[in-house]
Amino acid sequence: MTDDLIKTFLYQEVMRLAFEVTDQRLRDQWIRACVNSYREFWEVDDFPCKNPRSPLTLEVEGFDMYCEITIKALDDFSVTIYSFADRIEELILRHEAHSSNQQDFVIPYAFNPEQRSDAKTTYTTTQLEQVIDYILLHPFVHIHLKSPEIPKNNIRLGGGISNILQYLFHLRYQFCPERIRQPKATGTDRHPERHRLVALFDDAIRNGKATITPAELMKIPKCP
Amino acid sequence: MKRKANGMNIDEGIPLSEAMEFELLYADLYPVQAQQLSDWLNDKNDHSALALGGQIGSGKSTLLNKVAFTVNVETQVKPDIWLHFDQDSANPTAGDFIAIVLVGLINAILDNNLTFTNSSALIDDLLPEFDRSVIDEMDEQTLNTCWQTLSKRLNPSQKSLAAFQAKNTLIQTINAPQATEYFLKSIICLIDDFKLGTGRLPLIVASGIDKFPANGAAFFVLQDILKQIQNAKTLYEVNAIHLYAPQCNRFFGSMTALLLPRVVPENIAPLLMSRLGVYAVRHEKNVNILAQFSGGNPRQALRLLMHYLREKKNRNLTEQGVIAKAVKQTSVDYFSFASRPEKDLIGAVEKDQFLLSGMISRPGDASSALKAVYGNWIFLGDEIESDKREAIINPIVQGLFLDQSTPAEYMQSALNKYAEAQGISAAGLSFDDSTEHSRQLGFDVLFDEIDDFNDSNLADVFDEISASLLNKNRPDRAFIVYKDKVMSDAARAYLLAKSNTFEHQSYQHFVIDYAQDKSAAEEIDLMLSALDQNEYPIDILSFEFSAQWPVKQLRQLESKRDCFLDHQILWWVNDVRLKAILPDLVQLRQLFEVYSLDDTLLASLCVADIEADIDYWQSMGDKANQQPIAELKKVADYLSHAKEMHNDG
Repeated sequence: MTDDLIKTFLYQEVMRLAFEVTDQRLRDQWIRACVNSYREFWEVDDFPCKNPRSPLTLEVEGFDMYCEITIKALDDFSVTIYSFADRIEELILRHEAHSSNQQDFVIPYAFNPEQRSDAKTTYTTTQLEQVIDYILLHPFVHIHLKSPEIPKNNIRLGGGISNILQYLFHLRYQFCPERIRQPKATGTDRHPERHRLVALFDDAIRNGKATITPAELMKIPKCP
Repeated sequence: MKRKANGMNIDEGIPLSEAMEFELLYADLYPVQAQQLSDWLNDKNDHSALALGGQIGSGKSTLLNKVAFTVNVETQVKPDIWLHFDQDSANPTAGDFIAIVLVGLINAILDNNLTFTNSSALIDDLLPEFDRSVIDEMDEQTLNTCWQTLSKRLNPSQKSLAAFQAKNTLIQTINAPQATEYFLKSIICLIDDFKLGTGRLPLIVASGIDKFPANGAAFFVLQDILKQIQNAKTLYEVNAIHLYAPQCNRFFGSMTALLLPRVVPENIAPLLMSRLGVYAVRHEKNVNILAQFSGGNPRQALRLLMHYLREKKNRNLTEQGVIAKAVKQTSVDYFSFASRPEKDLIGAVEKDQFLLSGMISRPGDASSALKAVYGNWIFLGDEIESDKREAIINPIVQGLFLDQSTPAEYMQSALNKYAEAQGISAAGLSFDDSTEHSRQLGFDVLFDEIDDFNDSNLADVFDEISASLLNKNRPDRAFIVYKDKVMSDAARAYLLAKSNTFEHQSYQHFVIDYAQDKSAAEEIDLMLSALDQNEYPIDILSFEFSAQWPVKQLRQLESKRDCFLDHQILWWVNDVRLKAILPDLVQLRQLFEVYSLDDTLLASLCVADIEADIDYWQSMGDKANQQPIAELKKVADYLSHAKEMHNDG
């Protein structure tokens, strides 16, 4: 099986396990857990978001920004980001995903059971790491926000994300100050969150789990 | 309290006590005093007493904890007995205070497996079931069990009504007119027993004395007990005024005293920066200004930082407006309705920048320097000469006394001092002195009367206290002041429902009823201990004293301040009541924020939003949400009714 096919399989698995929550009640619970976790993940004092139901207003303490997030469905949402540096409000980005405009023509590759089994037993940790980077931590197509407050390349907002849960979860990592998400470099543990996610998804994929619960997904990594 | 390794660690200025807290947040503000304290603790030949004094919020407890912690690790010398006269006394009587000391000493003797020789009569005196006639037949273990029973009865860990009654009976025995003297002597007997068993005097830390004003009746009673424990090697934690007040002079005047002076703002800034962790850099300039407003008092600096971070989220404010609002809210928390010093005194300190010892110790009324120092209106600095200390007016209340200044002049003066200290030009920090400009910046709020609360709407109050209200790990406390009782019930329902936004938090509201023989302090003790025994912990404690409670009783809660440290508290109080009790709650309000609700909830909440919240919670289908849903329904009902009334007329 080619490297591309294995990564496609892993991509589908990661999305299925963590982000494809179609039931509204479960989705609301997922969003609540995610929004709740920002505070602890970013190690800030106040809750970045005081109300977990749409529309959400998310304060980003680390970069003097805030986001307004409107959610209609899993793949129908908008995220508007404002800078508030020097107390001057400026719209710096608007990300939109709409399911109804018939542009969703990319057909996911359909693996047969044999291929699935093959991919499951042959993928490597490095491949899974690359997929997690691609989806969450270092999206393949991304936008850098330009601001004196933001160190170069510190934030990479995924340009092609059409799943609100994936978007919210990737914001958790992207809006976290570098020194918190990558605390004091100690050998291989420079990326505690990446290590945690790789271990979490690896376990779920290899053991054929049906889903990863929000509580598992939102855990805070143990820092060295 | 759960601390964050790299991020923000904000609280109301509670003492640090854990190793991780010291590592992350401890600032060495008093290196000289810390060294002296450490030397005294470690010197086994020095049996003298020591008084550690400082103004409210100066960091006495943190310094004490830090030194005791370090001593413990390095030299294995640690206090044998740590007495908490503030937390452990239900009422300020000799019996209560003696009981605290007896418990401390009995436990120290038991913990060290020593023998009760000189003090054995105590069991007979205080344990009615003890049969002296069979003492000779008792083995050591049975006797020790009796001592343990006595200790538990004097300080029940499981506090129930029965335990309280049993304790009160013993305290009445101790308080009996002819008996008190005898029990005071028994303290010395216990100290002797400790010495006999170990060959050294017990090392006692007598903390919480600072919560009793030097001219108060409670301190008068407490002095006799403090004298007795001077027979051990004792450290007294006191307020700065205890080192000056004539009532204390005869006692504390004879011992070595360490006074923690105000800290220079340049050393306060790093303390605040450490609280901001990785987020510090972008706040650095403002942190330096906040440090100036702290007047060199660490707790006041932390309260300013807390309010600054909250106001920063208000996008309608300018940068300076954020600071001004933070200063205003801090002054409301600490000083609204407090007894003010005379303008003459403030003027003299403003001009001279020092206070003579004789002036501080001069007995007098509310306008005296002693009261001003106790209330933190004036901060004392280093000793200039033997009878003279540097002194400044607390910067957050300075504006209330300076008639001639405009807000901008006042701020310019504060910022000039900052620039001077930083060695930078004040040019970039200048202010236009036109009234309109200063209003735009928000500094005019510094000149508003702090006794007229700025009423906040409920949504604002929620925003202000959300950092702790939504969070199980951070216990903050607030007075919520209301005018309309019915409205306050709806407001409470809203806040308690909202506390469950992200995680299940249990809460309970108590109305503490009055009866003639009840003490407010005992009621608080009972309520807190009942909570501790709950099978499921209560995360948020909401309470209100019924209208019948005499103001005098409520004022007694002043010394109970540190009992509230571990609890998230909403204390509901009618505005008339609050104005009556606040002037005497100098200590208690250090750990409480004060928010006054405006008259109507309609201004900030709408029925549609509340109904959307109810739908949202119901759609979750979680049983744990039933209580918040019920609370939200109360709010919706109230709002619908209020809207109807509003429309009708």
